[in-house]
Amino acid sequence: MSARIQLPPVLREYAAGAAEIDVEATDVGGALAELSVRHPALRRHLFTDGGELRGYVKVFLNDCDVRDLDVGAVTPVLPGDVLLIVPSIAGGDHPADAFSPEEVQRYARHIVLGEVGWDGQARLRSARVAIVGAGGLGSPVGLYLAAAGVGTLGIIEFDRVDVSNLQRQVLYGTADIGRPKVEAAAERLRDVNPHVDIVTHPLRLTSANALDILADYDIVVDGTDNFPTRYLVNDACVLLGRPYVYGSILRFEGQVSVFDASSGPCYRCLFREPPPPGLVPSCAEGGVLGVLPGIIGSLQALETVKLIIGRGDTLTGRLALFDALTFRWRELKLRRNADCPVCGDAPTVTGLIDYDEFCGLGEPDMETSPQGQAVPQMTPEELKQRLDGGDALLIVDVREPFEWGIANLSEFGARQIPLDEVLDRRDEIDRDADIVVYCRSGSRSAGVVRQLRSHGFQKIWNLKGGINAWSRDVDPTMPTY
Amino acid sequence: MARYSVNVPPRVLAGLRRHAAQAATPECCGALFGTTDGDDFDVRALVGLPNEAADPARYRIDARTVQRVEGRAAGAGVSVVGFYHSHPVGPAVPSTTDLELACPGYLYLIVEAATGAVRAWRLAADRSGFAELVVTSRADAA
Repeated sequence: MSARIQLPPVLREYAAGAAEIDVEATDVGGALAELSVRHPALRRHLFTDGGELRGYVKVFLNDCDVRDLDVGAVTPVLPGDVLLIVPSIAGGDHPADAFSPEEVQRYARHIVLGEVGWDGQARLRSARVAIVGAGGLGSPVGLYLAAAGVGTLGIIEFDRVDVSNLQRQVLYGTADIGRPKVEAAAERLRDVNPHVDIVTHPLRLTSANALDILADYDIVVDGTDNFPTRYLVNDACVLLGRPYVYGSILRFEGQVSVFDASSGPCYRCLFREPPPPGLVPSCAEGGVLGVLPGIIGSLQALETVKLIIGRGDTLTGRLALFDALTFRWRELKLRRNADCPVCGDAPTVTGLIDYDEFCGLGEPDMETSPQGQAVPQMTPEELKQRLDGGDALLIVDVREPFEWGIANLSEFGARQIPLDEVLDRRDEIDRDADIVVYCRSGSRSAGVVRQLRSHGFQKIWNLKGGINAWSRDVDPTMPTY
Repeated sequence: MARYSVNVPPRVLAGLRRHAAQAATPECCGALFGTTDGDDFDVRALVGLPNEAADPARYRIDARTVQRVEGRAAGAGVSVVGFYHSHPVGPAVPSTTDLELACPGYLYLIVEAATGAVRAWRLAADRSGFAELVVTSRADAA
């Protein structure tokens, strides 16, 4: 049976310009369904994703209002009936976005800025930002984004507050020592701005959970400063289509950039592969001036705010480098790499991989180099047993001289040969002895063991976990750092 | 990306702001008469309409009212190119409610009651959001 549907002018462009369409149907619901099949572009304007008629759509059957479609849908349609679709016009103010008088006062210095204004503040309010790592960089990022009124802040952090954090991690105080960082951070940030929804993720970001967690956020800020997490966050952001606000610090130097594969390069366009493990020390090994993460983290917060309000030029396609000792800024132009394995024209990485393995940080007992060469390990307990048993072991400390000053194994005859001198001075090391190499955490020394093995050293082990593990498992009086 | 524009003559703009400031209900609303080539708009007049929403933070112009006002526009040789409403508290940016209930094709003007700021929006064809139009305010030619 044929009924006629009349469309209002505003909907006709979704029906190839037709004002009237004849459909075969026995009831109103069937007629509208048939209309959607005939003109698929109309469907999303007439029905919600859940298949319900949209709130603005009114249907009149021969000029009678078919009010409740649950019932109205089964209203019979007879030949010659006319179904008239008429829009009603409705909407409302921002119920969740409406600013209370207290918020207006709080954000007054934003709102008076033409570039931010009500619109920018509303955008900040509806923005969702993930902060990976609540340490030196994550502290200023969290504080400034909460103060700025970013609506939802997700904090991903598994660690607890340690006294050695307080030199730079300004989110925490002495009373927080020993507390989970997410807990202390959430408390502090809620105090800074109670309007912000703080979501805590007390876990380590991994290939297994990163896509699920980060998909809930619009922007991801990296405050972790280690290579596996950096590649993980970059790849997850490319796959999810999220901008990645990057920051990195070591000693007196910092870097900051925005990697947004939708409009520029990603981190892998710049660094296709990580450096060999041990080559670039971590902040724990190499040290960092406490103010530096304050500067770089604040810049990450700045770039995040600009991305949210959509004003200004962000660091997309640019890498800013800061040398705090000389106070010099440099800026490098970055280009998207068409051959990039993640964001290139023919990507080979289409899902998350094992980033510890990718960065050469192998499994615990036998560290494996990217070439697959195993590194023999000795645990601190095993070393202690052999020393107690009277074995004459040659212990080599490959750390920097200042690290020796903090803690060392000189009482067992350890010799100092810094990392970058080991190969040149290898003739000073007795090849016939049983050699144990150590550093702070076992990462740099693993690289040395690998190198020396390739130069013919046979009886050589890496001290698993470094001198910090020695302190933990054998001699708690030894300072850790 | 080229942005489309809408011209709202100064007298119409003044009327819009007056309605937003003096409305009996917190949110005011009405229809916009004018012409359009489908992209750019030329608003000639506005017709204040009763807000039929029960919720004070909402506005609603019933389909019957839309039909009547369409008829009046046709009689005047113009068309209803869109509708306006005020945001008493928030910015002149479409809210999520505005997006949910938006009808394609129409121009939506939003007036921020606190500042009198007027901004113009149109629903994207895929309903993913609104595209903003540039608001100009040249006096009528005639």
